[in-house]
Amino acid sequence: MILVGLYLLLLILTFCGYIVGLYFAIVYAGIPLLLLSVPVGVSAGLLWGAGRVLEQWPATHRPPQLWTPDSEVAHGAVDTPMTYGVLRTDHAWAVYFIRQFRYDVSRCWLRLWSDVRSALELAREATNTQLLVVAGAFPITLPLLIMAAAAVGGMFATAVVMTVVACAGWILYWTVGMTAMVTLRSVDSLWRIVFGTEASCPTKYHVTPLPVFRCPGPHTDREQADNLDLHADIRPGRLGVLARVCGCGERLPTTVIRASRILDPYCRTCSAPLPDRAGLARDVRIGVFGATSAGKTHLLASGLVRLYRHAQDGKASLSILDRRSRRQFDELSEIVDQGRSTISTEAVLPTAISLQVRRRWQSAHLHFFDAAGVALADEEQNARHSYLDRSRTLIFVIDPFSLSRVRDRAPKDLVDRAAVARDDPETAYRATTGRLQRYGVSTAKQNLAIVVSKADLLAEVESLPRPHDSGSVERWLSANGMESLVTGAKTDFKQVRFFLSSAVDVDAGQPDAAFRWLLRTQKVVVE
Amino acid sequence: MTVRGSRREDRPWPAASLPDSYLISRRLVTAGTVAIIAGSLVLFLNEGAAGVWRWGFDIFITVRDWRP
Repeated sequence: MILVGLYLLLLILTFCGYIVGLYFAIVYAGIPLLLLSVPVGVSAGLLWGAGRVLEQWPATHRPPQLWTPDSEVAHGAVDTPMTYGVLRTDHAWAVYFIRQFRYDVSRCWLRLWSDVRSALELAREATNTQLLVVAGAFPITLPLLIMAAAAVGGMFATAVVMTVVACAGWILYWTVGMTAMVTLRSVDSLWRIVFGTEASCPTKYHVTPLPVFRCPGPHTDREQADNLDLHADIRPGRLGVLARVCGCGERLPTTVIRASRILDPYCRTCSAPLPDRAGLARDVRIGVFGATSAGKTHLLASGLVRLYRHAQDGKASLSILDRRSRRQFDELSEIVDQGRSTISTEAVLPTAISLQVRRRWQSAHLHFFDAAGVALADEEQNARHSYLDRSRTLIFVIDPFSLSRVRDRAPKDLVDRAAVARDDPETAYRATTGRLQRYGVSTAKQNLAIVVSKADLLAEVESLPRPHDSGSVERWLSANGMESLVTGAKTDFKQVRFFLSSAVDVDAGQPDAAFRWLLRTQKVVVE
Repeated sequence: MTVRGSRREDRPWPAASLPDSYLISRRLVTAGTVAIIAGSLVLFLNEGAAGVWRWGFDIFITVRDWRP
């Protein structure tokens, strides 16, 4: 009985001791610890989180997930629908705030979450074995638990702050960057509209305001074979606002205006090289058409050579743009200088003779196309002469001896010498204009020069109309049975002028007059 | 443009191939985050924690001096 009483007394004393101890533990340890737990926990969490964020400061840090130019090509949004037959974006680094910032932010969240899980694992292992001790010492363990929770809160606050900062950068990109992007693209478009700049392919006739540019940086053979060094859309966008970084590391300017000055342009459809500054210079395409043997090649030869030689004396400088054009121009010069007759142009698709005019700070690219009359007369063949669709200026050549009234008046030997055109002008005219209209080309936006060739031979038949007077030539044509052609041309085209031309006798008709007029309509002065 | 102290040729691959715009943007985000955290911490310890201290100290005195 006494033992039981002593045992109970001991129990009561122990309990009272625990209560007293608990009181002192709560007052002198629990509350101060509790007061420290939140600030210390939050501070520790924030500092830990900041340390995790700072891990990505060094330049050598490689994010585990990286949005590379290869990712851009594989998954990037396609800005340009067609690039030399390949549907893809350019091989360049996207702006950081397009995709990479998401990877970096999510990496920070994952690292912190992994830290928390490790800490939880440790805590779980510790409390499993000493649960009773931990529970009994709650004045100490509870503040520690609160401190740990505060630390976790601090760590995730860091991640939230990083997310907010990154999103602010993203918003800044989409506001300031988009404004700059729209402004720069507008400047590009305005330049194109004001100065009529375009890039035209001399062989495939494709015309674009946006040529493809080749990166001059180091590219492997494989990359070149895959055309990864070509940039199809150099405009400001997801790959850079003011500049972009090619997959090879080369920094390239955005906007066609800047890129055209330093990068080599290429055709969008066939990736053939285009003349320097294509896309920056005014682009004028002049297509010559008419019946076989109407004198198209002679007109082009004498007109171009005269244009070129006279320009050397004037304020404008005229140069030949590429080697192919140089070869063709030299052949035409020989024909003019030696007074040779031309052989009929082959019925193949013509390649442009490209010249460059520079006058003061302006420059223009001129492309002249001479097609075989046989090809133009054939409906199937002329369908492929798409340069006619994209030419705002055309020259129609009429052989005066193909007009029956002139032929009737002319002596037979003269008609033989004149090598009369195979088809009558009406047929040749309808074959080409009909083709244009069939393909939906608005001829009402094109200017047409109608040139009566072989003026020196015509002078032997009758007195010529005044060569510089368009009205006089027009009346002469109407008087010789071409009323419907003259009326039709004036209805079909925006502006029509009539010229007399002779490759031999410039007094009878200057062969370059039609070219000069057409170029003036395109705001190009070659004098 | 080259990030100071980390010229492209000095950086090992693949960081060497990272464009400077990535590094600059990443550092801007990092610096912004750390600056905000540091500022918040100073404010928290200076203002917020001081309030908590004062409030807690009052509780401490009340509990310590409490007598049944």
